[in-house]
Amino acid sequence: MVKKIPGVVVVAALFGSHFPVFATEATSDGFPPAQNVSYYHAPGPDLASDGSAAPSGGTQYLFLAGSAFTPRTSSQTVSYPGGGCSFSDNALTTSLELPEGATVQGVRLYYYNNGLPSSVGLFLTAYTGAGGTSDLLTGSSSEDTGYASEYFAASTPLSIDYAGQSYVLTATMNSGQRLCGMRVFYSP
Amino acid sequence: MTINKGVTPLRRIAALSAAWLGLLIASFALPAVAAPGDHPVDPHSAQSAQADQPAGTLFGYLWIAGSTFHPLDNATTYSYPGNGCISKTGGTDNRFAHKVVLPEGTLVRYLRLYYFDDSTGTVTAYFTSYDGAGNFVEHASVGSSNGAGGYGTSLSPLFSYEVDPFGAAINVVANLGDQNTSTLRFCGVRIAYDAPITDRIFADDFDPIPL
Repeated sequence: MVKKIPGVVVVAALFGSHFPVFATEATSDGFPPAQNVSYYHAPGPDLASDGSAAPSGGTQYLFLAGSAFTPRTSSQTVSYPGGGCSFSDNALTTSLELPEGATVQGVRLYYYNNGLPSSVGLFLTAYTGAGGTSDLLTGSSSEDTGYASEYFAASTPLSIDYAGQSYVLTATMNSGQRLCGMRVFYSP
Repeated sequence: MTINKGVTPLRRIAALSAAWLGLLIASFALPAVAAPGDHPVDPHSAQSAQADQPAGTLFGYLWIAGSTFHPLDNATTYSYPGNGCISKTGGTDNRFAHKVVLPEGTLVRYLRLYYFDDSTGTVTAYFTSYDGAGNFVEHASVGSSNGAGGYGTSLSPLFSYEVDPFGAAINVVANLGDQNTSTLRFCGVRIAYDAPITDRIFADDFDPIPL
């Protein structure tokens, strides 16, 4: 049996790595996209031993890029170094939206830190809308060799209940560091 | 059948009466599950103070904190006074927005506003859909109350909007007005919705014609 290969596939195969046929990073800040870089993934229950998705049945992921986080105040500096990573000198936040009743097992923090002694901070916080605040999960990065990810497990699985509160992911960092994303590991 | 052997009709009536009397007493003695005004009501009635959270019904909810909203204009300045709330501090555009992502077919019923209001101004939240061609529809709005002071919550009237990701995008927009101090804070919104029917077996109710 002879299979026909579409011409576009041939073109992509021949020139794909050198010819920017497809959309590139939507950046105009002059920074090169952070691709093909060395990336250290610290182990965690959200990863199989070979670094692939965790094999346990029923668990899912919600992966949010750092550049999707927004500044919590208008007075802070925000910049985009590229690669989906953001920097800000104050907190960056985004709403955590999961299926109601989902159970959060933990959050993997993706960040960039090249030699700085300070950490990138992670917070999963619940707000009641009436002044109540509760940090359900916190974490501080420990790697400083460039791009890395670390998993922070909830002490007990966190049941999502939007009838009772909102959930916000927050990152803090220092100059030279970047938030590249957070990946929530949960059971629907 | 020997179950009722020996039980006369008179005894049966007496036993039933005693059972009903017991139920009546128990109904007064047991603590009420819902707050006053909550129940009994039509689960979708807006007359109750907790109409978006009635006892015994299962709305789905999406709660978005105020601190995750962003201004529509970069000249708008704002601060974070804490507890998931934001305050506008300057600028002429008073609006902050957040996208709403819900499954197709979801029926949105209520918009609940959370705020802190010790000011003469008000914060108002809108549930708005956009067709991408410059047209929009504000399906519901709800404003803060100056009366109580401090943290408060308000509920929109009952409305019905079916989520259609093919046809329209949805935002919740909060307008914080000209009160540029932390005496007025937007703390978030909670959307109450009926989840779409995914079990197609009962989508058209039971088939009255037996197989």
